[in-house]
Amino acid sequence: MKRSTTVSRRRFLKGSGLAGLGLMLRHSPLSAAEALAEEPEPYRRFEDVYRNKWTWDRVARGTHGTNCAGTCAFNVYIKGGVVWREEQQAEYEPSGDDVPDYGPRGCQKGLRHSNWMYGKQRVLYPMKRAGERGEGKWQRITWEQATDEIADRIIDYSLEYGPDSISFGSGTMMSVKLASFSSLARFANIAGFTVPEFYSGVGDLPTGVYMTIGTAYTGDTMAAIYKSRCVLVWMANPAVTRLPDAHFFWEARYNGTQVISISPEFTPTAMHSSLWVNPKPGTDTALAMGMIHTILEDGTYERDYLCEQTDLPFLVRADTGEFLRETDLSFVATLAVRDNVFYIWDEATGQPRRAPATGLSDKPIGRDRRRFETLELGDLRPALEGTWQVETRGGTVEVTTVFELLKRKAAEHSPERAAEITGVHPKVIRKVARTFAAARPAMIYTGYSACKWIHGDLLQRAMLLLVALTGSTGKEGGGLQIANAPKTRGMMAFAFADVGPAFRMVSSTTWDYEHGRMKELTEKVYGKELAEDWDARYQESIREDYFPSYGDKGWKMGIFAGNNGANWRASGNRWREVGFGKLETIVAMVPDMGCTAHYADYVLPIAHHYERTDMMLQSRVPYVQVLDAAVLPLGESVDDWTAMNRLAEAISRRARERGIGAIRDDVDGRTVRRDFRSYHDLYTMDGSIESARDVVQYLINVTPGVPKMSFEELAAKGIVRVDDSDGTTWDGEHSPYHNEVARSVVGKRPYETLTGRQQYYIDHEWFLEYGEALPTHLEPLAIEGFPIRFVMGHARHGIHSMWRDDPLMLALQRGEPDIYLNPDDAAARGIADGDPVRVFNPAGAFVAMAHVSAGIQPSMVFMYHGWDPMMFEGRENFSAVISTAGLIKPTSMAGDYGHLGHRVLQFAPNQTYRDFTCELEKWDGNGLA
Amino acid sequence: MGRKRARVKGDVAEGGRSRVSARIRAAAYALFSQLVASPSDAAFAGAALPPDLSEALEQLGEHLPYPFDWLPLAGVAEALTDRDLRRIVRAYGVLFEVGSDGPPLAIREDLAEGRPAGTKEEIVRFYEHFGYRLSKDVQWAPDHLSVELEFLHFLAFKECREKDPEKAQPFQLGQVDFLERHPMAWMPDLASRVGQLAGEVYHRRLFQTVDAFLRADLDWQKTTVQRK
Repeated sequence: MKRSTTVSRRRFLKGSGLAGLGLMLRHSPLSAAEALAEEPEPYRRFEDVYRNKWTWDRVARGTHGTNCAGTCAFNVYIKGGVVWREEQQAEYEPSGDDVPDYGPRGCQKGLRHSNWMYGKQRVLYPMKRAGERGEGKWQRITWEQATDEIADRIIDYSLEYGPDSISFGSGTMMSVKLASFSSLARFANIAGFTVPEFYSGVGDLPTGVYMTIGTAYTGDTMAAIYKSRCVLVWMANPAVTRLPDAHFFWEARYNGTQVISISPEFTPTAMHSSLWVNPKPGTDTALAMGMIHTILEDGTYERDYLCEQTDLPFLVRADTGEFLRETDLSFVATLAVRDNVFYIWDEATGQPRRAPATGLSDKPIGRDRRRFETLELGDLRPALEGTWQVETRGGTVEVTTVFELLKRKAAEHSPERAAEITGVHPKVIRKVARTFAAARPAMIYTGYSACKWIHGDLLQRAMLLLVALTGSTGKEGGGLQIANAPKTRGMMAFAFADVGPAFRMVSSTTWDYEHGRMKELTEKVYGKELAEDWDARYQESIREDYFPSYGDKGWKMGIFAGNNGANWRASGNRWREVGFGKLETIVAMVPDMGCTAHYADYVLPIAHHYERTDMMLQSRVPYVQVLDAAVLPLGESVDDWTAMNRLAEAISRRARERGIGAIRDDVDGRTVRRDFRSYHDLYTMDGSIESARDVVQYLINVTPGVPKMSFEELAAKGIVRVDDSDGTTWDGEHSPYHNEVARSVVGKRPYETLTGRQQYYIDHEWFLEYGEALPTHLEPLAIEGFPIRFVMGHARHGIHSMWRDDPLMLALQRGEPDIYLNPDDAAARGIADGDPVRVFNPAGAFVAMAHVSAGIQPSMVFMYHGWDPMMFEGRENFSAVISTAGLIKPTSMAGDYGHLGHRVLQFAPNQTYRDFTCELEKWDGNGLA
Repeated sequence: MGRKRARVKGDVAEGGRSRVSARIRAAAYALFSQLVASPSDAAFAGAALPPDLSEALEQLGEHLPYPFDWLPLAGVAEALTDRDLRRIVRAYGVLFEVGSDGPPLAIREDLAEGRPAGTKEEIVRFYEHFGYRLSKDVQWAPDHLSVELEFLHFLAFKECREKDPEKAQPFQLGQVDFLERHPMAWMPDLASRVGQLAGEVYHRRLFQTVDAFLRADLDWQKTTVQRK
């Protein structure tokens, strides 16, 4: 039908202004009268517009709600509804008179955000795929169309396959914004989605720490560094990754603290340290064991601390390698299943005696049954060394202590032996060990890199043992500083209100293993024997219900909220092809375009940091940080609460329109009634929650350790000191953070481990079988025929993929993804600095610019992470060669052993990223294959 | 198509600057501001194009004080069907609003290639200097082509309403400077790229026409305004 374009001239003239000439403003609220009322400003040339004083309409308080642990207080300057600049605030108070303060905080990325948020990468409107998936063809659609279509798919998949066929990924970008994270979690809980959690998925879960002390959360504030006398900066690069806090290291060093950096490559942190130690990549546990050997040999360990706080005095049967338990001694105990009562050898009486505070049941959710027990030894005098004969139900058996076994294990790791493995001279190993042992308190500051090695749990266990030998764990300025996190009670209260826990949380690692058929990859790259052996353990773990599996109904739909999951995964190319790419529906909820959104079917525009109301808690700084929406969200973007509210409304409306009633959903044996028609009422708590601001207020009210005030008060202040934060450690009961270690060291309460101690000996049959009952060095996995070890680290110029493509950030680097390699390796391959290099192995290939550097060891390459596949040739980034997604270490799936078994956000197998090797060559420009 | 050729000379302001010429030019800027706005966005325009576009273009061709070739765009517009309009709405989004690496073309000056730092600030300073304010829902995009053209409409309108030539001059100078420093600094390249990438002939003709109009208007203005 032809459109009628003919109208009367009079009508046009009236409308267009040629005749009557009205002021026809569509973008301005000004009326003609208002416009005419204003006198013209003197104007002669364009310079005149600069004569007026530039004033701000408003200065808001805000920060960058991304997962960098910075939580930096910024003032955000607004004029005309635009953020023009931001400025760091230095209003922090110190944690005591004798430590430096926390401010000013911030970095170049945060200071760039006011520009980047208006960049071309912003998603401004709902988008629907208009071509083949990944083809890059899009259609702008309305929110109503987007939410209606997505709602219909959620309803359809839930009806046909169950809600668990829909995954809901809330990424690291969301995790630190409490209102956003809670809103997303509430929606997922109401709908019953499967949530593949990212903590283990990105390889950040400190499983070795959990194995040892029963919690993954051991970190204090960054000011604690200043209290240490010796800090080993190990598997971390704070000069790059902790820009607002790195000063604590250098101030401590100025104050006499030894800051020793341990890393294969010469890092910006190493540059400023007292000493740099450079083991070969993946040999760190050998180094740690060499140091442990030295401390044991020198006898410079804290005996009393070890006897009280650790399992080192516990008796172990020589015949089985298992702990001596009450069930070994008493038939009655076998009936009562008292297999968690352990013994020490009491030198005072010459008898085995029950170790205090053992025999306790596992901690149920929300209750602490250990509060009435104590680790205090009283009259007991535990022996650390010796062997004895003990009468058991099965006859006389020889027993010894964990400490004795540790000495034998350490004997296998003399500094000379460690030097052969690590390349670090034995004198250096002894020097570092003795410096560390002489320091009180001593600290190991580490990041998440250890978690990304398949045997990184052994390194973390060895690290904890090192600090325990010096009696430093649980002391101010001491211990293993890796991570802490807010107690989740407040967020979970919001997420579960009116519904109860009703979603499925699973490790992304196991999710990917199943849906990416990653066993095939392991078989292809590492061989059938390893693949079969580890898979058998995996299947046994699922069968025995140590860990959950929600893969039986298939994976139909993925919703990715603040989660660039197609970027950060190990073996990302395979995952995209086998798992992600086969999904029937992919929804990305993001502020910026990236790889995940590129492959999605629907992209929903989400507000950025300065456009949302929220608050943040990060344990490195003792403050609550506000995000006070400085400006309206750009385009049609909305905050997470609003996005989920629209989707919940659409689901309820569509269900009513389609006449669809409730379904019964089985969640881990519990029947949950899911009525699509009520999702919106549930989500909004029957209308009592109307905005993200209401969510923040709810969380302020119920989150432990957060001072009670209105959001408006919080917004006016910008930052507020959290409760129980006078010192540098999280040792109080009323802070927002985990304090289990201090409770045990200071309060003498048992640890949440099977033995109730810092547990260095794990006699689970799998640990015994794989030789991992004690910390020990195991060789990292490699790919035969590929000699180059590939190591990665967090970047200075981006937080994961955020800000990675900012033009200024790129200008501060090489302008494109680059890979660091040793000059000899480069020369041997005819590669010059700046050349394009093809990196390859049996898993895949990618191209990056050669960055030849003498700071890199031979036979290794280094690359900063976060570069999005969108920035690479063929949209293939480093994940193409990271062949590790099918490597799930059997001991990481162990269960039915006290604290071992699936614990959400505490114990789950990490997706690892380091146990592979590769080769490289100068790229000829002809494809990747 | 049976229409007469556009007149190349205006009949209301033969070569000289007047309130009448300002009136016509204000109308032209208003029209083009609407045409380059997002047709999906109620805040920008609310409709793909006015129902009387051909007529409007013809009027401009007749009354603008300089040559203006309105026929190519009017020809396309006249033949549009409702289905075409729906395609145009989608095509605008594809060109300027969505894309895996961001939209293929920048409809906001600050994102256009080669624009110097401080571009957006200067635009806002112009707006503030002359008292032009934006509604809240478009404040984030003061550099949108549609907004820039509306600002020129605003200035031309103010010029038109000033009976005193002395008082009208700041608005005249403002138009010259803003047009030269902003829309004309990136519009030619944008029009050229639209010509290469746009699937819809309508968009190619529209941006060619707007580009031609801006060039002609700037040339004419430079010859008709004098700085003291």
